[in-house]
Amino acid sequence: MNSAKLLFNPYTKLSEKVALMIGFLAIFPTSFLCSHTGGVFIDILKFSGGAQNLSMWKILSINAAIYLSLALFFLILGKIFSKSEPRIIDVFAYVFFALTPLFFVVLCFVPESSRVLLSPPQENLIDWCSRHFTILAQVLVALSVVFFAWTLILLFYALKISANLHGIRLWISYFSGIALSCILMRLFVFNAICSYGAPGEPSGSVCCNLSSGVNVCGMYEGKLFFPGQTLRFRLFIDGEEKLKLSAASPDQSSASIPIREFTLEGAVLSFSIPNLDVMFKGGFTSEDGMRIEGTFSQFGYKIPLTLNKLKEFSYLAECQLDCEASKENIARLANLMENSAFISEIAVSMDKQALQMLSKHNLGIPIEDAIKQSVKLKIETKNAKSKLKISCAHKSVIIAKTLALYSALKIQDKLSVENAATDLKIEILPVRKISRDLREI
Amino acid sequence: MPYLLALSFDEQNFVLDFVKQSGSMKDMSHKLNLSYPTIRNMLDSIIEKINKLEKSEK
Repeated sequence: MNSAKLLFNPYTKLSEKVALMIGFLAIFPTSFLCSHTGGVFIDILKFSGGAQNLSMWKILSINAAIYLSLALFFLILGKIFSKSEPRIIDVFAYVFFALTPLFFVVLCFVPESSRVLLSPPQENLIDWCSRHFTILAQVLVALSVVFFAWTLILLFYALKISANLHGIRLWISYFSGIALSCILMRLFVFNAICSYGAPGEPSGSVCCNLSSGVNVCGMYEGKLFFPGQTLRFRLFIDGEEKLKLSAASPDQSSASIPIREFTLEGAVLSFSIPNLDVMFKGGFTSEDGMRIEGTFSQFGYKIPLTLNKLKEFSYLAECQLDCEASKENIARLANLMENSAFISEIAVSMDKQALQMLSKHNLGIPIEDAIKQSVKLKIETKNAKSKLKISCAHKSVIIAKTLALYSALKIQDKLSVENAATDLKIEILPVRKISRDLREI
Repeated sequence: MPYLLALSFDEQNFVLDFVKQSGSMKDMSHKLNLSYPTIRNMLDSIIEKINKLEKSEK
């Protein structure tokens, strides 16, 4: 009976120094396992996947932040609610020790069958679950829940003994401490750590150049050889102000998919698209940055993938506009831009009217300069009442898209179009070079 | 009645051991094989009990 009690409340016998040492040392193997499984604790209550691109340092920092934030809030609440004066070392030591079983929680997600459950898709969840939620996966998940419950119980007694809290004050402090830690981690700390540059690298550095000085921005294309079919895969790397990646499967859709989870450290590149269960791990294998080789995986199926950079590429953005430039339609255009990859983070200097309509989008590049940078516009009209088709080519997909839209708005002001339409279409087509028959306005 | 007599048997033994250890909670934790925070919590609860007795007497 006493042994069972000690399992949940070892603090009556456990010295604070031993507890601190065990808890502190446990962070390292826990972080290592997180790195291995591709999972990360966003806060004490959420263990999520899609962290394959996070370095070991960042995962360690995140885990340490969770430990410290919990201990800090427990200490503050202990000082407020306790009639004793809690010692810092007691609270920190016992909270650190209480989080040791998180190692076993992560251990349950090491096997592939349970690891895949960390990144469920946003669509077709039921079908996905029926494929991946095997007996073994269920057992492992249940086991992880048991270890997690054990962690929460240890945390409760850690607060009780270290801060000498009882009754309602104990419960208030316990739940408040966990809630405050979760809020702090989710709102500030997690994102701050994830977006911070790796040790030794400046944060927010512009990334077209590898450490060797090779420019890697551009479009890369390769082929995925699935059983029964071969699909082209395109990767766009853009570094206008900040490194941005997007992908496309031109044989399936003309739309590009923004890649929000990626790392480029040295020549090593990895990215993931969680809602499509896509992961890529590889790197630049040629000195001139023209080739990326690695392993592409989707739904657990792994394929080697080689991407070669296309030379002299540019993007041809076509905007087909056949609606009047009413406030409502401009607002719809703004929404369309907001939902397009990258558009929401950039803007272009425009004339006053367009600026008023699209003021939240800010590129910082004057439209006149952009035009000078090899941008050519083509306007096709079959007759005065027909639809306008505006093509804009630029080496950057962001500029091409935005300019096509902007040009459409400008043209719309000058030419009258009688027919109102309900659909707006923007199609991005990568081309090898800017077509000679495009002429400037 | 002295407040000490109003304490329980275990509490009185605790106070006795505390005096014999020269008031060192660290030595108490070694002697009783309990953690320092536990010893401190026990002492705090005795202090609180004595304070309540004093208040009730007044």
